Amino acid sequence: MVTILEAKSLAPAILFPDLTAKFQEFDRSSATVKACTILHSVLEFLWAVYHKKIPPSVIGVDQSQDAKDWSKRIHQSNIVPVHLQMGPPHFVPPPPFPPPQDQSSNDSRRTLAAWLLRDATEKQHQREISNDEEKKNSSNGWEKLPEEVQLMVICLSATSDEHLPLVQQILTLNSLRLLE
Amino acid sequence: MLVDGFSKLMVLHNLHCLPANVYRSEPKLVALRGDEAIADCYHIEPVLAFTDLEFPTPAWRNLKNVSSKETLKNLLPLDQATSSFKGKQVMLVPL
Repeated sequence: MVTILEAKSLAPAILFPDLTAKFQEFDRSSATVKACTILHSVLEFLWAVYHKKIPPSVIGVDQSQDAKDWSKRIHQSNIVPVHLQMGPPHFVPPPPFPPPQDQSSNDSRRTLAAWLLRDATEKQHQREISNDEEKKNSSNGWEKLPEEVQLMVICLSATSDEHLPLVQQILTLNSLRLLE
Repeated sequence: MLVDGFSKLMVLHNLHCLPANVYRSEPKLVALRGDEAIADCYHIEPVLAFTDLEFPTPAWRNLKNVSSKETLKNLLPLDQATSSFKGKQVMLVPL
């Protein structure tokens, strides 16, 4: 089977000599079991394919929902790594009144809704974090300003003289510092 | 292994029969094709695929000594063939 899967071509004329070589190698290495006991029909089948004695089988790509579900299960159990099989981090309830459509449409809608909900939650979380950081940065920025500049901003933004005592107090403190 | 509509040899894997249920009136024979991460799903028409076939073949000692395309081309069953293929249109290859 490995020889067949690893073959460059599935043309019987190419595959046949490769298989016979493998069978002869197997016969040389095995003293009890010979290739002809279990694998002779494979070579006979390939011979028949080459000489067009095997009628074609009726096959087709199956895109029905049950076939898709089955192949998805096989894919998940054999190919997809385990860490990628974990479900979404938040429980997503199904829509309360599913619209009367076919199953594939419903599944794709649910998947899309789950993805949108998860995406929106992540964005909201990131926005909250960035808002907190902005607030923190803005308070630090005001404190970094020199007192004179702070005073000037307070005076210029004042709508009345209510801050005048505060300004006088700060000026007095500054003059005292200069004297020291 | 089977022969497709273009008379080409085809290898399918994970052959499986989806049983009949309330949504599926008849069992369905499905298999995968491809050795990459994504495989195509095929359905096989079961009645034709498992029709009995029987015809004379060359002797095993001649078959196993085929080493080239020319040998294979010229290899035909003897007039009084003692070997014959008894199987189906679908050949199950042991792993």
